[in-house]
Amino acid sequence: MDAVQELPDRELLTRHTQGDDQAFAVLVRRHRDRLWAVAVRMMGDREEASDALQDAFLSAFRSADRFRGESQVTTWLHRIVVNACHDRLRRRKARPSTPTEDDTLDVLSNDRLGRVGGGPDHASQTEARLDVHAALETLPLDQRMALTLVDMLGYRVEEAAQILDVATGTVKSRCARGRAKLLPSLAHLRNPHPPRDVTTGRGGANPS
Amino acid sequence: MTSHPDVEALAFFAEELLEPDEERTVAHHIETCALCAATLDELTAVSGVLADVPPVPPMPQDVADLLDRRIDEAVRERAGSDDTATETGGPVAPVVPFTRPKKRGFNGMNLPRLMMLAAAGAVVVGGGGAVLNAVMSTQQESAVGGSAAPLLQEEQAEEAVPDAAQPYKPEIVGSGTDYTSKDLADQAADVLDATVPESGYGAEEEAQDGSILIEECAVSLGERLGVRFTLVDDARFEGAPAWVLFAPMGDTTEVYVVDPAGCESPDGVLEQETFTTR
Repeated sequence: MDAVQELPDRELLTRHTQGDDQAFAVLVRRHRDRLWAVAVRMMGDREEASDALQDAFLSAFRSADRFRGESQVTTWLHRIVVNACHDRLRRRKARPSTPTEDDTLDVLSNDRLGRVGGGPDHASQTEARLDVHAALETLPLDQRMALTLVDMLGYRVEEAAQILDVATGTVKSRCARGRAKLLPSLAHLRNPHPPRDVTTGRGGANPS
Repeated sequence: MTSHPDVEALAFFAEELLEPDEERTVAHHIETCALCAATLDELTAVSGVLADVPPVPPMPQDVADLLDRRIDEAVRERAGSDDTATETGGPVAPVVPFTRPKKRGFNGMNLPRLMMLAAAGAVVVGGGGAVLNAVMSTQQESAVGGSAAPLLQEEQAEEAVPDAAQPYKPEIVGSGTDYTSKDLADQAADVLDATVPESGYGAEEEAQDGSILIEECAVSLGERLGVRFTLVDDARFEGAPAWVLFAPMGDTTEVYVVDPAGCESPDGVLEQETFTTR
Protein backbone atom coordinates (compact mmCIF):
# COMPACT_ATOMS: atom_id res chain seq x y z
CA MET A 1 0.00 0.00 0.00
CA ASP A 2 1.29 3.45 -0.75
CA ALA A 3 1.15 5.96 2.03
CA VAL A 4 -2.07 7.79 1.29
CA GLN A 5 -1.17 10.30 3.98
CA GLU A 6 1.68 11.61 1.89
CA LEU A 7 -0.07 12.13 -1.41
CA PRO A 8 -0.49 15.69 -2.63
CA ASP A 9 -3.92 17.29 -2.27
CA ARG A 10 -4.69 17.11 -5.93
CA GLU A 11 -3.91 13.42 -6.13
CA LEU A 12 -6.12 12.76 -3.11
CA LEU A 13 -8.96 14.60 -4.74
CA THR A 14 -8.52 12.67 -7.97
CA ARG A 15 -8.50 9.39 -6.10
CA HIS A 16 -11.63 10.42 -4.27
CA THR A 17 -13.44 11.09 -7.53
CA GLN A 18 -12.28 7.70 -8.79
CA GLY A 19 -13.95 6.00 -5.87
CA ASP A 20 -11.17 5.80 -3.30
CA ASP A 21 -12.85 5.62 0.09
CA GLN A 22 -9.95 6.95 2.14
CA ALA A 23 -8.68 9.85 0.10
CA PHE A 24 -11.20 12.45 1.10
CA ALA A 25 -10.86 11.77 4.80
CA VAL A 26 -7.12 12.26 4.50
CA LEU A 27 -7.69 15.56 2.77
CA VAL A 28 -10.09 16.64 5.49
CA ARG A 29 -7.70 15.77 8.29
CA ARG A 30 -4.92 17.60 6.57
CA HIS A 31 -6.79 20.89 6.33
CA ARG A 32 -9.49 20.79 8.95
CA ASP A 33 -7.71 22.85 11.61
CA ARG A 34 -7.06 25.72 9.24
CA LEU A 35 -10.57 25.63 7.87
CA TRP A 36 -11.95 25.33 11.36
CA ALA A 37 -10.17 28.56 12.24
CA VAL A 38 -11.71 30.22 9.21
CA ALA A 39 -15.19 29.01 10.11
CA VAL A 40 -14.86 30.02 13.77
CA ARG A 41 -13.67 33.50 12.90
CA MET A 42 -16.30 33.94 10.24
CA MET A 43 -19.16 32.73 12.39
CA GLY A 44 -17.93 33.88 15.80
CA ASP A 45 -19.69 30.90 17.28
CA ARG A 46 -18.50 27.36 17.80
CA GLU A 47 -21.72 25.52 16.99
CA GLU A 48 -22.39 27.51 13.88
CA ALA A 49 -18.82 27.11 12.77
CA SER A 50 -19.17 23.36 13.21
CA ASP A 51 -22.39 23.28 11.20
CA ALA A 52 -20.95 25.40 8.43
CA LEU A 53 -17.87 23.23 8.24
CA GLN A 54 -19.87 19.99 8.05
CA ASP A 55 -21.94 21.47 5.24
CA ALA A 56 -18.86 22.65 3.44
CA PHE A 57 -16.95 19.39 3.61
CA LEU A 58 -19.95 17.39 2.48
CA SER A 59 -20.45 19.81 -0.37
CA ALA A 60 -16.78 19.41 -1.31
CA PHE A 61 -17.15 15.64 -1.07
CA ARG A 62 -19.99 15.70 -3.56
CA SER A 63 -18.63 18.27 -5.94
CA ALA A 64 -15.04 17.10 -6.10
CA ASP A 65 -15.47 16.07 -9.71
CA ARG A 66 -16.15 19.69 -10.53
CA PHE A 67 -12.78 20.78 -9.30
CA ARG A 68 -11.00 21.81 -12.46
CA GLY A 69 -7.56 22.35 -11.08
CA GLU A 70 -7.41 26.05 -11.92
CA SER A 71 -6.69 26.80 -8.28
CA GLN A 72 -5.08 25.06 -5.35
CA VAL A 73 -7.18 22.43 -3.64
CA THR A 74 -6.81 24.40 -0.42
CA THR A 75 -8.13 27.53 -2.11
CA TRP A 76 -11.06 25.57 -3.44
CA LEU A 77 -11.78 24.15 0.01
CA HIS A 78 -11.52 27.60 1.55
CA ARG A 79 -13.95 28.92 -0.99
CA ILE A 80 -16.49 26.26 -0.17
CA VAL A 81 -16.13 26.89 3.56
CA VAL A 82 -16.35 30.63 3.14
CA ASN A 83 -19.45 30.28 0.98
CA ALA A 84 -21.09 28.06 3.56
CA CYS A 85 -20.31 30.65 6.22
CA HIS A 86 -21.54 33.46 4.02
CA ASP A 87 -24.82 31.71 3.56
CA ARG A 88 -25.32 31.18 7.28
CA LEU A 89 -24.28 34.71 8.12
CA ARG A 90 -26.72 36.10 5.64
CA ARG A 91 -29.46 34.03 7.11
CA ARG A 92 -28.50 35.17 10.57
CA LYS A 93 -28.61 38.79 9.47
CA ALA A 94 -32.08 38.20 8.08
CA ARG A 95 -33.33 37.29 11.53
CA PRO A 96 -31.13 39.18 13.91
CA SER A 97 -32.20 38.16 17.39
CA THR A 98 -31.11 34.57 17.73
CA PRO A 99 -30.46 33.19 21.21
CA THR A 100 -26.78 32.99 20.39
CA GLU A 101 -26.53 36.68 19.91
CA ASP A 102 -28.49 37.43 23.01
CA ASP A 103 -26.05 35.32 24.94
CA THR A 104 -23.19 37.19 23.42
CA LEU A 105 -24.71 40.46 24.44
CA ASP A 106 -25.23 39.28 27.99
CA VAL A 107 -21.65 38.22 28.26
CA LEU A 108 -20.63 41.47 26.72
CA SER A 109 -22.50 43.60 29.23
CA ASN A 110 -21.39 41.47 32.17
CA ASP A 111 -17.85 41.91 31.12
CA ARG A 112 -18.29 45.61 30.91
CA LEU A 113 -19.78 45.73 34.36
CA GLY A 114 -16.84 43.78 35.66
CA ARG A 115 -14.34 46.13 34.17
CA VAL A 116 -12.96 48.75 36.48
CA GLY A 117 -9.37 49.53 35.72
CA GLY A 118 -9.23 48.21 32.21
CA GLY A 119 -5.67 46.94 32.35
CA PRO A 120 -4.30 44.31 29.97
CA ASP A 121 -5.69 41.46 32.06
CA HIS A 122 -7.66 38.47 31.01
CA ALA A 123 -11.02 40.19 31.40
CA SER A 124 -10.14 43.02 29.11
CA GLN A 125 -8.74 40.62 26.56
CA THR A 126 -12.01 38.78 26.61
CA GLU A 127 -13.80 42.04 26.28
CA ALA A 128 -11.66 43.05 23.36
CA ARG A 129 -12.46 39.80 21.64
CA LEU A 130 -16.16 40.27 22.18
CA ASP A 131 -15.93 43.86 21.06
CA VAL A 132 -14.23 42.77 17.89
CA HIS A 133 -16.83 40.16 17.17
CA ALA A 134 -19.72 42.47 17.94
CA ALA A 135 -18.21 45.20 15.80
CA LEU A 136 -17.68 42.83 12.88
CA GLU A 137 -21.34 41.87 13.11
CA THR A 138 -22.28 45.41 12.19
CA LEU A 139 -20.43 45.33 8.87
CA PRO A 140 -21.86 44.34 5.52
CA LEU A 141 -20.98 40.70 4.91
CA ASP A 142 -18.57 41.37 2.07
CA GLN A 143 -16.51 43.70 4.16
CA ARG A 144 -16.67 41.48 7.17
CA MET A 145 -15.46 38.45 5.26
CA ALA A 146 -12.63 40.30 3.57
CA LEU A 147 -11.45 41.76 6.88
CA THR A 148 -11.74 38.43 8.65
CA LEU A 149 -9.54 36.76 6.08
CA VAL A 150 -6.99 39.52 5.63
CA ASP A 151 -6.67 41.36 8.94
CA MET A 152 -7.81 38.72 11.38
CA LEU A 153 -6.55 35.50 9.87
CA GLY A 154 -3.60 37.00 8.02
CA TYR A 155 -4.30 35.78 4.52
CA ARG A 156 -2.58 37.75 1.80
CA VAL A 157 -4.86 39.95 -0.27
CA GLU A 158 -4.18 37.77 -3.29
CA GLU A 159 -5.16 34.63 -1.39
CA ALA A 160 -8.30 36.26 -0.05
CA ALA A 161 -9.19 37.38 -3.57
CA GLN A 162 -8.91 33.83 -4.85
CA ILE A 163 -10.91 32.45 -1.98
CA LEU A 164 -13.63 35.06 -2.35
CA ASP A 165 -13.45 34.82 -6.13
CA VAL A 166 -13.08 38.56 -6.66
CA ALA A 167 -10.32 40.88 -7.84
CA THR A 168 -7.58 41.91 -5.44
CA GLY A 169 -8.70 45.53 -5.72
CA THR A 170 -12.12 44.46 -4.55
CA VAL A 171 -10.66 42.80 -1.48
CA LYS A 172 -8.65 45.93 -0.74
CA SER A 173 -11.60 48.25 -1.07
CA ARG A 174 -13.81 45.99 1.05
CA CYS A 175 -11.12 45.96 3.72
CA ALA A 176 -10.68 49.72 3.51
CA ARG A 177 -14.40 50.35 3.87
CA GLY A 178 -14.65 47.87 6.70
CA ARG A 179 -11.76 49.43 8.61
CA ALA A 180 -13.26 52.87 8.18
CA LYS A 181 -16.54 51.62 9.63
CA LEU A 182 -14.85 49.78 12.49
CA LEU A 183 -12.67 52.66 13.48
CA PRO A 184 -15.09 54.36 15.90
CA SER A 185 -15.78 51.13 17.78
CA LEU A 186 -12.35 49.52 17.75
CA ALA A 187 -9.61 52.10 17.62
CA HIS A 188 -9.87 52.71 21.37
CA LEU A 189 -8.74 49.16 22.04
CA ARG A 190 -5.32 50.14 20.81
CA ASN A 191 -5.23 53.87 20.90
CA PRO A 192 -4.86 55.68 24.23
CA HIS A 193 -6.74 58.66 22.80
CA PRO A 194 -9.95 57.35 21.35
CA PRO A 195 -11.93 59.54 18.99
CA ARG A 196 -14.70 61.48 20.68
CA ASP A 197 -17.61 59.47 19.40
CA VAL A 198 -16.90 56.16 21.11
CA THR A 199 -17.60 54.81 24.61
CA THR A 200 -21.18 55.96 24.85
CA GLY A 201 -22.89 52.96 26.39
CA ARG A 202 -22.13 50.05 24.14
CA GLY A 203 -20.99 52.42 21.48
CA GLY A 204 -20.50 51.15 18.00
CA ALA A 205 -19.94 47.66 19.24
CA ASN A 206 -23.62 47.00 19.63
CA PRO A 207 -24.74 44.66 16.88
CA SER A 208 -27.88 45.40 14.93
CA MET B 1 -10.70 73.04 7.29
CA THR B 2 -13.54 72.08 5.00
CA SER B 3 -11.39 69.73 3.02
CA HIS B 4 -10.68 66.94 5.52
CA PRO B 5 -10.95 63.71 3.62
CA ASP B 6 -13.47 61.36 5.20
CA VAL B 7 -12.33 58.25 7.03
CA GLU B 8 -13.12 56.01 4.10
CA ALA B 9 -11.02 58.14 1.78
CA LEU B 10 -8.17 57.83 4.25
CA ALA B 11 -8.64 54.07 4.36
CA PHE B 12 -8.56 53.97 0.57
CA PHE B 13 -5.48 56.14 0.63
CA ALA B 14 -3.78 53.66 2.92
CA GLU B 15 -4.57 50.87 0.46
CA GLU B 16 -3.36 53.01 -2.46
CA LEU B 17 -6.77 52.77 -4.05
CA LEU B 18 -7.32 56.47 -4.74
CA GLU B 19 -7.07 58.04 -8.15
CA PRO B 20 -3.74 59.86 -8.62
CA ASP B 21 -5.29 63.32 -8.28
CA GLU B 22 -7.13 62.48 -5.13
CA GLU B 23 -4.16 60.66 -3.74
CA ARG B 24 -1.98 63.74 -4.17
CA THR B 25 -4.56 65.90 -2.49
CA VAL B 26 -4.91 63.57 0.50
CA ALA B 27 -1.15 63.10 0.81
CA HIS B 28 -0.70 66.83 0.83
CA HIS B 29 -3.46 67.30 3.36
CA ILE B 30 -2.06 64.76 5.77
CA GLU B 31 1.27 66.52 5.88
CA THR B 32 -0.34 69.52 7.45
CA CYS B 33 -3.30 68.00 9.30
CA ALA B 34 -2.48 66.25 12.54
CA LEU B 35 -6.05 65.10 12.97
CA CYS B 36 -6.17 63.21 9.68
CA ALA B 37 -2.69 61.84 10.21
CA ALA B 38 -3.90 60.48 13.55
CA THR B 39 -6.96 58.98 11.93
CA LEU B 40 -4.73 57.24 9.44
CA ASP B 41 -2.79 55.75 12.34
CA GLU B 42 -6.00 54.62 13.94
CA LEU B 43 -6.99 52.82 10.77
CA THR B 44 -3.77 50.87 11.02
CA ALA B 45 -4.62 50.24 14.65
CA VAL B 46 -7.95 48.72 13.59
CA SER B 47 -6.08 46.13 11.57
CA GLY B 48 -3.87 45.58 14.56
CA VAL B 49 -6.82 44.99 16.87
CA LEU B 50 -8.23 42.42 14.45
CA ALA B 51 -4.86 40.72 14.12
CA ASP B 52 -4.49 40.60 17.90
CA VAL B 53 -7.40 38.27 18.34
CA PRO B 54 -5.71 35.09 19.54
CA PRO B 55 -5.37 32.19 17.11
CA VAL B 56 -8.14 29.61 17.03
CA PRO B 57 -7.13 26.37 18.76
CA PRO B 58 -7.18 23.21 16.64
CA MET B 59 -10.55 21.69 15.86
CA PRO B 60 -12.01 20.22 19.07
CA GLN B 61 -12.20 16.46 19.19
CA ASP B 62 -15.99 16.29 19.23
CA VAL B 63 -16.23 18.40 16.09
CA ALA B 64 -13.52 16.34 14.43
CA ASP B 65 -15.32 13.12 15.34
CA LEU B 66 -18.58 14.41 14.00
CA LEU B 67 -16.90 15.44 10.79
CA ASP B 68 -15.26 12.03 10.42
CA ARG B 69 -18.58 10.32 10.87
CA ARG B 70 -20.28 12.45 8.31
CA ILE B 71 -17.55 11.80 5.80
CA ASP B 72 -17.83 8.08 6.60
CA GLU B 73 -21.53 8.21 5.92
CA ALA B 74 -21.01 10.03 2.68
CA VAL B 75 -18.52 7.38 1.64
CA ARG B 76 -20.97 4.62 2.50
CA GLU B 77 -23.79 6.37 0.72
CA ARG B 78 -21.67 6.69 -2.34
CA ALA B 79 -20.68 3.05 -2.25
CA GLY B 80 -24.32 2.09 -1.79
CA SER B 81 -25.46 4.11 -4.75
CA ASP B 82 -22.95 2.45 -7.02
CA ASP B 83 -24.05 -1.13 -6.69
CA THR B 84 -26.99 -1.67 -4.38
CA ALA B 85 -29.49 0.90 -5.52
CA THR B 86 -31.81 -1.59 -7.17
CA GLU B 87 -31.51 -4.20 -4.46
CA THR B 88 -33.36 -2.32 -1.82
CA GLY B 89 -36.33 -0.94 -3.56
CA GLY B 90 -34.94 2.25 -5.02
CA PRO B 91 -35.91 1.80 -8.65
CA VAL B 92 -33.87 3.26 -11.44
CA ALA B 93 -36.61 5.54 -12.43
CA PRO B 94 -38.13 6.47 -15.73
CA VAL B 95 -39.14 9.95 -16.68
CA VAL B 96 -42.43 10.75 -15.13
CA PRO B 97 -44.23 13.55 -16.86
CA PHE B 98 -46.92 15.42 -15.01
CA THR B 99 -49.50 13.80 -17.19
CA ARG B 100 -49.04 10.58 -15.26
CA PRO B 101 -50.17 11.72 -11.87
CA LYS B 102 -50.85 8.20 -10.66
CA LYS B 103 -47.16 7.67 -10.34
CA ARG B 104 -46.87 10.39 -7.81
CA GLY B 105 -47.50 10.01 -4.13
CA PHE B 106 -50.20 12.43 -3.20
CA ASN B 107 -50.97 10.86 0.13
CA GLY B 108 -54.64 10.87 -0.61
CA MET B 109 -54.76 14.48 -1.62
CA ASN B 110 -56.26 15.78 -4.80
CA LEU B 111 -54.01 16.51 -7.68
CA PRO B 112 -52.70 19.87 -6.66
CA ARG B 113 -53.44 22.84 -8.81
CA LEU B 114 -49.75 23.20 -9.17
CA MET B 115 -49.43 19.97 -11.08
CA MET B 116 -52.13 20.81 -13.51
CA LEU B 117 -50.64 24.16 -14.25
CA ALA B 118 -47.34 22.48 -14.71
CA ALA B 119 -48.60 19.82 -17.07
CA ALA B 120 -47.76 21.87 -20.11
CA GLY B 121 -44.57 20.16 -21.01
CA ALA B 122 -42.79 20.22 -17.71
CA VAL B 123 -41.01 17.11 -16.60
CA VAL B 124 -40.48 16.02 -13.07
CA VAL B 125 -36.92 15.25 -12.36
CA GLY B 126 -35.85 14.04 -9.02
CA GLY B 127 -34.01 11.48 -7.02
CA GLY B 128 -37.29 10.22 -5.70
CA GLY B 129 -39.71 11.34 -3.07
CA ALA B 130 -38.10 9.17 -0.48
CA VAL B 131 -34.88 11.01 -1.01
CA LEU B 132 -36.63 14.30 -0.73
CA ASN B 133 -38.23 13.16 2.48
CA ALA B 134 -34.94 11.98 3.81
CA VAL B 135 -33.26 15.25 3.06
CA MET B 136 -36.01 17.25 4.60
CA SER B 137 -36.38 15.20 7.73
CA THR B 138 -32.66 15.00 8.26
CA GLN B 139 -32.33 18.71 8.11
CA GLN B 140 -35.26 19.15 10.36
CA GLU B 141 -33.64 16.98 12.95
CA SER B 142 -30.37 18.76 12.73
CA ALA B 143 -32.05 22.08 13.14
CA VAL B 144 -33.84 20.94 16.24
CA GLY B 145 -31.32 18.69 17.83
CA GLY B 146 -28.11 20.61 17.46
CA SER B 147 -24.94 19.08 16.20
CA ALA B 148 -25.23 15.62 17.71
CA ALA B 149 -28.71 14.68 16.57
CA PRO B 150 -28.23 14.48 12.79
CA LEU B 151 -26.10 11.38 12.99
CA LEU B 152 -28.78 9.17 14.38
CA GLN B 153 -31.34 10.49 12.04
CA GLU B 154 -29.12 10.12 9.06
CA GLU B 155 -28.31 6.57 9.89
CA GLN B 156 -31.98 5.77 9.99
CA ALA B 157 -32.60 7.66 6.81
CA GLU B 158 -29.79 5.88 5.15
CA GLU B 159 -31.17 2.48 5.99
CA ALA B 160 -34.54 3.42 4.69
CA VAL B 161 -33.22 5.11 1.60
CA PRO B 162 -30.11 3.44 0.36
CA ASP B 163 -30.13 5.39 -2.85
CA ALA B 164 -30.17 8.75 -1.17
CA ALA B 165 -26.84 9.54 -2.66
CA GLN B 166 -25.50 12.15 -4.93
CA PRO B 167 -25.60 13.32 -7.56
CA TYR B 168 -28.89 14.56 -6.30
CA LYS B 169 -31.37 16.25 -8.53
CA PRO B 170 -33.90 18.78 -7.44
CA GLU B 171 -37.51 18.26 -8.30
CA ILE B 172 -38.59 20.67 -10.99
CA VAL B 173 -42.09 22.03 -11.26
CA GLY B 174 -43.77 24.79 -13.18
CA SER B 175 -46.38 26.33 -10.92
CA GLY B 176 -47.16 29.23 -13.22
CA THR B 177 -46.72 31.61 -10.31
CA ASP B 178 -45.61 35.14 -11.04
CA TYR B 179 -43.62 35.73 -7.89
CA THR B 180 -43.21 39.22 -6.57
CA SER B 181 -40.59 40.58 -4.28
CA LYS B 182 -43.22 41.65 -1.79
CA ASP B 183 -45.07 38.35 -1.51
CA LEU B 184 -42.23 35.99 -2.24
CA ALA B 185 -42.33 34.18 1.10
CA ASP B 186 -46.06 33.54 0.97
CA GLN B 187 -46.07 32.54 -2.66
CA ALA B 188 -43.15 30.21 -2.14
CA ALA B 189 -44.79 28.62 0.89
CA ASP B 190 -47.93 28.02 -1.18
CA VAL B 191 -45.98 26.33 -3.92
CA LEU B 192 -44.04 24.18 -1.52
CA ASP B 193 -47.28 23.21 0.16
CA ALA B 194 -48.85 22.23 -3.10
CA THR B 195 -45.91 20.10 -4.11
CA VAL B 196 -45.94 16.63 -2.72
CA PRO B 197 -42.67 14.81 -3.05
CA GLU B 198 -42.93 12.24 -5.76
CA SER B 199 -42.62 8.66 -4.73
CA GLY B 200 -39.61 6.87 -5.94
CA TYR B 201 -39.46 8.04 -9.49
CA GLY B 202 -36.69 10.05 -10.94
CA ALA B 203 -35.12 10.59 -14.29
CA GLU B 204 -31.50 9.85 -14.74
CA GLU B 205 -31.14 9.96 -18.46
CA GLU B 206 -34.09 11.45 -20.17
CA ALA B 207 -34.35 14.82 -18.60
CA GLN B 208 -35.30 17.49 -21.04
CA ASP B 209 -32.93 20.21 -22.13
CA GLY B 210 -34.43 22.94 -20.02
CA SER B 211 -34.45 20.86 -16.90
CA ILE B 212 -30.79 19.98 -17.27
CA LEU B 213 -29.94 23.66 -17.19
CA ILE B 214 -32.12 24.10 -14.15
CA GLU B 215 -30.48 21.17 -12.42
CA GLU B 216 -27.03 22.45 -13.13
CA CYS B 217 -28.02 25.82 -11.84
CA ALA B 218 -29.52 24.35 -8.68
CA VAL B 219 -26.52 22.15 -8.00
CA SER B 220 -23.87 24.77 -8.68
CA LEU B 221 -25.68 27.53 -6.86
CA GLY B 222 -26.35 25.14 -4.00
CA GLU B 223 -22.67 24.41 -3.78
CA ARG B 224 -21.80 28.04 -3.88
CA LEU B 225 -24.22 28.82 -1.10
CA GLY B 226 -23.72 25.62 0.83
CA VAL B 227 -27.35 24.61 0.61
CA ARG B 228 -29.21 21.81 -1.08
CA PHE B 229 -32.03 22.77 -3.36
CA THR B 230 -34.69 20.10 -3.43
CA LEU B 231 -37.27 21.88 -5.55
CA VAL B 232 -37.15 24.34 -8.42
CA ASP B 233 -40.15 26.20 -9.73
CA ASP B 234 -39.70 27.22 -13.34
CA ALA B 235 -41.85 30.33 -13.09
CA ARG B 236 -41.79 34.09 -13.30
CA PHE B 237 -40.57 36.85 -11.01
CA GLU B 238 -41.83 40.39 -11.32
CA GLY B 239 -43.08 39.51 -14.77
CA ALA B 240 -39.90 37.99 -16.19
CA PRO B 241 -38.98 34.32 -16.47
CA ALA B 242 -37.18 33.12 -13.37
CA TRP B 243 -36.26 29.98 -11.51
CA VAL B 244 -37.29 29.82 -7.91
CA LEU B 245 -35.13 27.44 -5.89
CA PHE B 246 -36.18 25.92 -2.59
CA ALA B 247 -33.77 24.71 0.06
CA PRO B 248 -35.44 23.31 3.18
CA MET B 249 -33.32 24.04 6.23
CA GLY B 250 -35.28 22.38 8.98
CA ASP B 251 -38.27 24.40 10.08
CA THR B 252 -37.52 27.12 7.61
CA THR B 253 -37.04 27.04 3.89
CA GLU B 254 -34.71 29.24 1.92
CA VAL B 255 -35.96 30.53 -1.40
CA TYR B 256 -33.74 31.96 -4.09
CA VAL B 257 -34.99 33.60 -7.23
CA VAL B 258 -32.49 33.43 -10.05
CA ASP B 259 -32.34 34.82 -13.51
CA PRO B 260 -32.26 31.83 -15.88
CA ALA B 261 -29.66 33.65 -17.96
CA GLY B 262 -27.37 34.40 -15.09
CA CYS B 263 -27.29 31.53 -12.67
CA GLU B 264 -23.51 31.47 -12.62
CA SER B 265 -23.07 35.17 -12.19
CA PRO B 266 -22.94 36.78 -8.75
CA ASP B 267 -25.82 39.03 -9.77
CA GLY B 268 -27.87 36.08 -10.91
CA VAL B 269 -29.72 35.83 -7.62
CA LEU B 270 -32.54 38.31 -7.98
CA GLU B 271 -34.11 37.83 -4.60
CA GLN B 272 -33.75 35.73 -1.50
CA GLU B 273 -36.28 34.98 1.17
CA THR B 274 -36.75 32.65 4.11
CA PHE B 275 -40.07 31.35 5.26
CA THR B 276 -41.23 29.05 7.99
CA THR B 277 -42.04 25.64 6.60
CA ARG B 278 -45.68 24.87 7.21
